[in-house]
Amino acid sequence: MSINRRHFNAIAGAGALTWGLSANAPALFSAGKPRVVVIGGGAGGATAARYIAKDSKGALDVVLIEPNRKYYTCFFSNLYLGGFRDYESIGHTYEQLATAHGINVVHDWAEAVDRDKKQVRLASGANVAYDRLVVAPGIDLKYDSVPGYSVAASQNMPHAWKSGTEVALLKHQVENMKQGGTFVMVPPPNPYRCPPGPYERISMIAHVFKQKNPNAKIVVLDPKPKFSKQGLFQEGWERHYGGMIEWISPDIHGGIKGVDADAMTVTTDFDTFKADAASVIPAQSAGAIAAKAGLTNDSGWCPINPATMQSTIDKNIHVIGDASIASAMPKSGFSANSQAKSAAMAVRAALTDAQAFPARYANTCWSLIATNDGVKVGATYKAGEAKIEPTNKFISKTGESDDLRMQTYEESVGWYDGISKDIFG
Amino acid sequence: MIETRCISLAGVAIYLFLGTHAWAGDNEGDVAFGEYLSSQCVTCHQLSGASNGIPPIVGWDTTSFYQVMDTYRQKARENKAMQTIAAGLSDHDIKSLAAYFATIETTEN
Repeated sequence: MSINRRHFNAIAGAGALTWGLSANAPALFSAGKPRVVVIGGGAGGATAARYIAKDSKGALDVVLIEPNRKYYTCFFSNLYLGGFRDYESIGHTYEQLATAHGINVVHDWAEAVDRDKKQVRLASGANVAYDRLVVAPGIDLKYDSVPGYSVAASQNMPHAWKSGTEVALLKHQVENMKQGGTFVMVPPPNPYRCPPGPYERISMIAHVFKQKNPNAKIVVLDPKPKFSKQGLFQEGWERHYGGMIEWISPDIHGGIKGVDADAMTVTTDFDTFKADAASVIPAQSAGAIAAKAGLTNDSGWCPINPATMQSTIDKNIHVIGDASIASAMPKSGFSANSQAKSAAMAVRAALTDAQAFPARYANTCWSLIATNDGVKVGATYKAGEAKIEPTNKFISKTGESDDLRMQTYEESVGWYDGISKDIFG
Repeated sequence: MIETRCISLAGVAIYLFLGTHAWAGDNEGDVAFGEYLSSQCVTCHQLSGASNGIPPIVGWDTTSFYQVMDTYRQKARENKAMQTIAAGLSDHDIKSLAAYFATIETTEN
């Protein structure tokens, strides 16, 4: 048992014996422990469920609602696309969360949240009551943000922005593109999941083409005039894939006017581009359940209290990960994992006698440009008055040595193992 | 549970005594606080001690742990991510992390 300042205050104020009995009473005599329900079993939700269950040591019931029995991470899905990982190496089950931490993992969709009754309705029709709710639904794609794009159109122009079989489909199309053909990529506008992700994807597709389709071209029609790690990616593209990748700024193409997935064309103000294979990643918003629960603002994302990740709309609910408005923190698996720990601490402090320390956050995003050429960007953060604010930050530099780039890649492989265990047990 | 609470109470008393008299509260790590801070570390560094591109940090003696982190903090040791993390840590933070990680035994190589 560790030293705990809140315990000390309680002992000093009420007397050790009285306090000891009353603090133990709920666990000993109450039929129902306080219940925490977590919606979403990704990097945010699974971490929150695990930390709440692990650190409350049986004092709280934890229910995790996640439709998938196996979760394929978005992070490292580009490495699967590039042939650096196999499919199963990015898939994770929930077995450890149940067996090691006693979490009730319910494979169902959360369909609605009744905030007055404090209960979640599942697609199966059942209701689950909560004392605290953690909402971690990730993103939804706004298909109509690109005229002509739709779920049906994503067959020929996969967004593949939620990992799993979507990325397998894109990989199939990349590997089977006609020799000397053109791959067209339309990255998303800000804000979106994984800021360097589209550009790492371009790098991995170029890596495949370099081996299998060396005369292929990649055209990137970006709705943004600049992007994450731009200098590092553009240096790497020139170095490893000289001439294969053409990134076109909206200052040049004038804006994306629409796509035609049957004709395989992308039209901009400037021209129409014919594709032999394509990936179109539309604009994004918080996962649908967040809006259904009334937790989003006009931006489509969820405002939060930076110290606790509590929704500013409902204090019984914490929103973490991509769905939240975390200001300077990018929408990444690392950020979601970090935010989950702050939320878990706040939930335990609210429902048990656990102590809450001031929130601290961190993020690092590694990207692979080519074999053994890894780069990274990251920062630490604190809870400011109204926003999460950066405290220190770093980014890889152009012109770094091959040894350092290899070390950075190897570090990312170690990180993947570490965070996977931290999320899924 | 009552026995545990009593031990806890004794622990608090010792902590307060040493904290106020000998070390002014900042020279020794607080294991509970270190455990909280460690949640940032274990995103990359595995509690089992397993290492694969990321070095293990469990089971170190507290002096070595402090020295390495302090060297990162002074940017005298390379690794931008670690320099950035260390820059945000006080002496007490690092000592608390050292105290916590020293209590963890490697279970995997």
